[in-house]
Amino acid sequence: MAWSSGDPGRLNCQEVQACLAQMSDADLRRAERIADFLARGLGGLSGEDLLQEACVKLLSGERRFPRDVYPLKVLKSAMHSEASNARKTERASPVDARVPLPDDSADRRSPEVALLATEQFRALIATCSGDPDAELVVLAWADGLKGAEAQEATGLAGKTFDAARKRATRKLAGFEPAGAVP
Amino acid sequence: MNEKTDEDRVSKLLDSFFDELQAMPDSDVLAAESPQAVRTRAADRLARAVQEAGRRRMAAARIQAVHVNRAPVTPISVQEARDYIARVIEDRNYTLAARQLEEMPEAEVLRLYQQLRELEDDAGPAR
Repeated sequence: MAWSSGDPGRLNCQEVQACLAQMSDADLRRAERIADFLARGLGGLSGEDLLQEACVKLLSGERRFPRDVYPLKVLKSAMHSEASNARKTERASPVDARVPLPDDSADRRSPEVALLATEQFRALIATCSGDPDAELVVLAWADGLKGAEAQEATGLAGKTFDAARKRATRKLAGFEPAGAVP
Repeated sequence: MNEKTDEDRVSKLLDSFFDELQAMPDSDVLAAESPQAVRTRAADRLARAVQEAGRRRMAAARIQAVHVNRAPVTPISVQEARDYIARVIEDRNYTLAARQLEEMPEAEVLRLYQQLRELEDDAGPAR
């Protein structure tokens, strides 16, 4: 637990609380949508759980809240770390609790982490199933492509790409049901 | 490796999703939800988080207090340390000849003093 007066680059507890309380309604909603995005495929953990835990860690000082950084971005990073930690916690549990596994073996954990990451990725892609253009956009983004590069990778024309990009965002955000036909 | 690839893909997808969500007009973000409902949920969440964070900070402070109380011992002179060690040896019937204590290097005297103080703090004060 680390509140340090020697770190002027971070907000203190009261400042974090004020910062979170002053977020706009739209940004609060965006934070919820990002939380749900990150919770997809993570069994037993809801988006609300992720968001709540991220707030607790920022307020308690367990996680640093940098000064002059957009609060939604801080929340996104904190929730991303929480989701990653949740995967690691799940991977540390033996698949069959009756079978003891060595504590020091990293190998035993990797397949489970890989499976959870794959499940999460598939769950995200599935939000666009039934909408091939939106799925292409999501796959391009997952490859790290943005803007014109992403459009080129999808092979979609300008307006078609823009429409697919907006639908993909709305589906990933849960604003449109998965599988909806454009 | 598959593990890295899919974790990496999720991270990259998150980055693009975040950018697009930020660029989306507020009115679209809030289209299907009443701002009042969002605000109420956020206020409840923040209140719970403040309470839980306080509980965790308190628990951490208690743990730290135990360490702080145990660790530092008031600095004293080598002669005072020798006198203290001699008293404890006599009280507790530890085996250490007076001559050994006299010949002990100063750093060793202070180290032994520190150890004895920690032991005495656990067992109760020496005379």
